[in-house]
Amino acid sequence: MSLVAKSLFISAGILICSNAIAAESTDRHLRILVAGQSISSNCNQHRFGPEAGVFQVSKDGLEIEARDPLQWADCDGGSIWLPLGKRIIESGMAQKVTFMSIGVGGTSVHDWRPGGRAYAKLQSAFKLIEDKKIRFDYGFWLQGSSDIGSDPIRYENALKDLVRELRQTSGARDWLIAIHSSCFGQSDNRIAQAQERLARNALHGYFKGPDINSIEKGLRTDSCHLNKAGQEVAAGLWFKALQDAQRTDHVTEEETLLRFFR
Amino acid sequence: MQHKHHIDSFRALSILFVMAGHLNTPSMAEGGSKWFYFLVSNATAWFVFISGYLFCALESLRFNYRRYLARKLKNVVSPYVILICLASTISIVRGRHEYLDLSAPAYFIWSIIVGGDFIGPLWFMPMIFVFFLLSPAFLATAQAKWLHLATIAGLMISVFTCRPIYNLNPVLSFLHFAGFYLAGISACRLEEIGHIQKHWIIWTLIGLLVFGSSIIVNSENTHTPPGFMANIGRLDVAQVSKLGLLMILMPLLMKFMNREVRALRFLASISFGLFFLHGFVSFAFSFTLPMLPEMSWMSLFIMETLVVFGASIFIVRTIQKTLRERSRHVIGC
Repeated sequence: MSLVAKSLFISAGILICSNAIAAESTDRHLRILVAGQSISSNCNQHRFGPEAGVFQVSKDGLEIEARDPLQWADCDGGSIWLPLGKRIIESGMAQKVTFMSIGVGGTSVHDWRPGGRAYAKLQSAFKLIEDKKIRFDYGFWLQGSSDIGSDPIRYENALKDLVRELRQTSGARDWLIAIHSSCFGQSDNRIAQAQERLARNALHGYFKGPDINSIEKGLRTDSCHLNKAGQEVAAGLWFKALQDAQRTDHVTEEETLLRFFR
Repeated sequence: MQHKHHIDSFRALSILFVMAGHLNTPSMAEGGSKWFYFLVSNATAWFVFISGYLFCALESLRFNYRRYLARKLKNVVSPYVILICLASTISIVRGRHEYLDLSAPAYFIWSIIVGGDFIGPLWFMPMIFVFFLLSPAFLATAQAKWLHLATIAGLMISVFTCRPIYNLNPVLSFLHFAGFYLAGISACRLEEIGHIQKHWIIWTLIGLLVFGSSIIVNSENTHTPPGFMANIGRLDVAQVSKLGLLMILMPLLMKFMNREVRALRFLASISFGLFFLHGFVSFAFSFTLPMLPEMSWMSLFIMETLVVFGASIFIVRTIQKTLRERSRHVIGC
């Protein structure tokens, strides 16, 4: 059968099957690597306690019960990830979820590149990931307000380079990029647009994360970081974004015929 | 057969729209890019229309399936294979296949079948092969009494579906664009009996109505999920706008521009080469973007337009001059 005939045959099959979205496996263990600035770390108001099935990667690379403050992240307050983990377990998306949150407060995207102040931490996380052979399923990027006023093209390219490196080391092909370009009364729509542009590329593993800018002032403690209700709202937004990303990934794989070549 | 100058002019306009639609810098403009892309995007539909028109005008009287496919293999498949192999090799060297979780050989085969993910416009070729393969069916339709009904049905499918995700499914792309191919055949038949020339005002007014409606819908348009399957039944506003503009432009060109305009004829003569190559130039420009000093999006837009249009024309002409007749097998013109 010629190549063209084969492709026609495969595509016709897709026409028939593409609506049959396979159910997500319920015995799944999700491992999520989180990077970004303070809002992605433990710099939010409320410390959440342990949740059944929610784990974190400890400083020495063990998988331990997760509780705020998470070990790898900055600050000693609370995070978004415990309530997100709870949502993931309750929904049946996975039976076990492990976070490794390596955020550094106040960092611009360039701080994660060689010479930047988050670079040493990134390298030490990479060493641990490689030593312990940890493979992540997803990466979350929650950063941007420290880049307010900077050139969006350079922001986008620096983030692309960083994600490329994060992807190679962590094994996380799929990255959810949050929209976050607003803090302390300042906002930069061009950075938000750069984040949206990058996240519009499901084929190459970039997915739209939640719009953190949309979280209202009443859910923040200092017009930037989140209070308890804000943390829960943000977790809900991340959960929705993760669901959307899984759906988009599946549809993309089907419609672009990638499924038949993997 | 008398030379169809109006089709040359329309083909030239089409390639200008297609190339403009692939410019990246307008997406950096705050808010403004929505209308730019609305105006220029989806002109591929016009290329499909022209293919249908030319199929009817040139093939319907002396159609021989084997000879037709052999010619297409030489003039379309051959350049496509050369360029997709080049694009896929560059992609593999840059490790692009890893983003897709594909091995290098799997990426190579996948790229040939769907057009690849590296040089955007190349997806068009696998789709147009589907039209070539089904040419006997189109010939039968062209000679049938129900041609215009089939065209209306095809156009309904075209405007009530969206492109497949990243255009990477030739069969779904075919379904999305087949209405425009049939419209090309219908236009050819209507022109033969002098209908369009006689009723050009009516066609133009209908076109204005369709295009105007698409503007109104676009101003309220909300985000749509990507893909063909996710959008069955959803109005593709960009497709409607191109249908409207087509109904305005074609009768006007037939009526008033059926004479040679050298610049447009030149562009039409190299349009296939431009279609093949401008994606490479566009990629090269985007590659240099981070190295350029900081400047406004408008300056970047002007620079990108000049580079992409200028360099693409220059490269096509250079290849034509170097390879002479053989250039047709390499870049399609």
